[in-house]
Amino acid sequence: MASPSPAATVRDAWWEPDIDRATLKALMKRSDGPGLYFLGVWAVLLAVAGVGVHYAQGSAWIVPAVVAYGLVLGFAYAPSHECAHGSAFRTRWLNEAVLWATSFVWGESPTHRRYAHSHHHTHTWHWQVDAQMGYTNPVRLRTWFGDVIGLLEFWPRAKLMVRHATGRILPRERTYLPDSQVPVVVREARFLMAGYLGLLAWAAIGQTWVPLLYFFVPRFAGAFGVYSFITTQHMAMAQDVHDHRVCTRSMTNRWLGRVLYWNMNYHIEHHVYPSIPFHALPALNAAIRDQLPAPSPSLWAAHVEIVRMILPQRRDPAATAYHPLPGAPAGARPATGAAGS
Amino acid sequence: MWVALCPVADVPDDDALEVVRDGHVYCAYRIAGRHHVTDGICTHAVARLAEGYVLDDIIECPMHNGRFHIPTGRVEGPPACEPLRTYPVRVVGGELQIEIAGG
Repeated sequence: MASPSPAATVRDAWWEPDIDRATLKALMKRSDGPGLYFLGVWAVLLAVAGVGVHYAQGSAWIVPAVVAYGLVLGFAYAPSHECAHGSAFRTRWLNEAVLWATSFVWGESPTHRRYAHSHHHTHTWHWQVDAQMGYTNPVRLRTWFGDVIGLLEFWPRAKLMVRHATGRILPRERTYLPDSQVPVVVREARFLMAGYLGLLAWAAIGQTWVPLLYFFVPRFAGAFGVYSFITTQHMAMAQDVHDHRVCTRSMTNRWLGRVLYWNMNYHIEHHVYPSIPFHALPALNAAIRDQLPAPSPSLWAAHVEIVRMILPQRRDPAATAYHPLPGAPAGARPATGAAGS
Repeated sequence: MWVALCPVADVPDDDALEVVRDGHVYCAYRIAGRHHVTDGICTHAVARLAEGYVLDDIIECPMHNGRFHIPTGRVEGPPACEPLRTYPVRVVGGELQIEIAGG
């Protein structure tokens, strides 16, 4: 339990805005209400889409109905992410219960999700260090497309689940998983696998399409919905730099996007203060807006920015998408790492 | 031995104050009128707890939201696994003192 010297904190390396402690403390305040509201909107949309799937069976409408249902289902990512932070709800058991339910849909052991994501926050977008950085600059067209439709994630996650369920933890995973948590991750992966196999057994033995139509197929077919949001978080931004304003992208979304994505469009803000719950991110943005770069004006604009960086990055891997920092001299950009550096 | 940490008046109610003494980081709290002192650096991933969130008698790390019970240092929430060191405290003449090993 030795306490390191004050100069050794990981967090000190990162850029922090100028904000007074009283404001920060008020923003960190936990509450159950906003999470229940966001969760409720998601559940209602899921139920409506589910009714659509029910009535579309036996007709060609089943295809768009399952895709629409899957679009909503995939946003289980958002509560799962916020609950992994432990900040979705003030009530602890509610936070853990929703983490479990949504992690089942998302397809990752809650404990692994928590530790890998913590590592991502410690080493955001540092190539070959950040546990959740799946690709590096230069961004390729196939990387962007694969990430948006979810293909880049599904296969690795399926392998991860099987590997963990069979008790195999990679040396790289041991860099962020404490020894005490390894058996927990294995146990959780087995529990989740048993759940998935149970659903498949129900389909096979019960001769029913329900598990396929309401879980497996839509989870794949509609994944592009949430992944089109997730892809914008860091893709084509600077890497290997301790400033979330240049390695992370915020964007402006409409009400439905913000609610389904649990305000993660305020992504720079979320990385700067991970302890501020999702529902206070708009207020955090208002408090420090003058110190942040302008967000991408929409989801579409964020993707246009990414795709437009593909060719320049082929020529110069150090070229990155960049939103000018307030007060920075024209043309000035912070030093950033090149591909694979 | 008992050593002076900071003036009692500096310790905020229901919040955390970082105090660096002899190169060691401490965190001082006044929770429901009672004083507590813990180490000031999170045992999980090295962040300053005084930048975190105090919720009743829990301090939450600002980096990954790991939680510790302030009076005992017990881990209350992941990703923290190692408990936080706590120190016996007393108030002498308006000064918050802690007992540390050595002398």
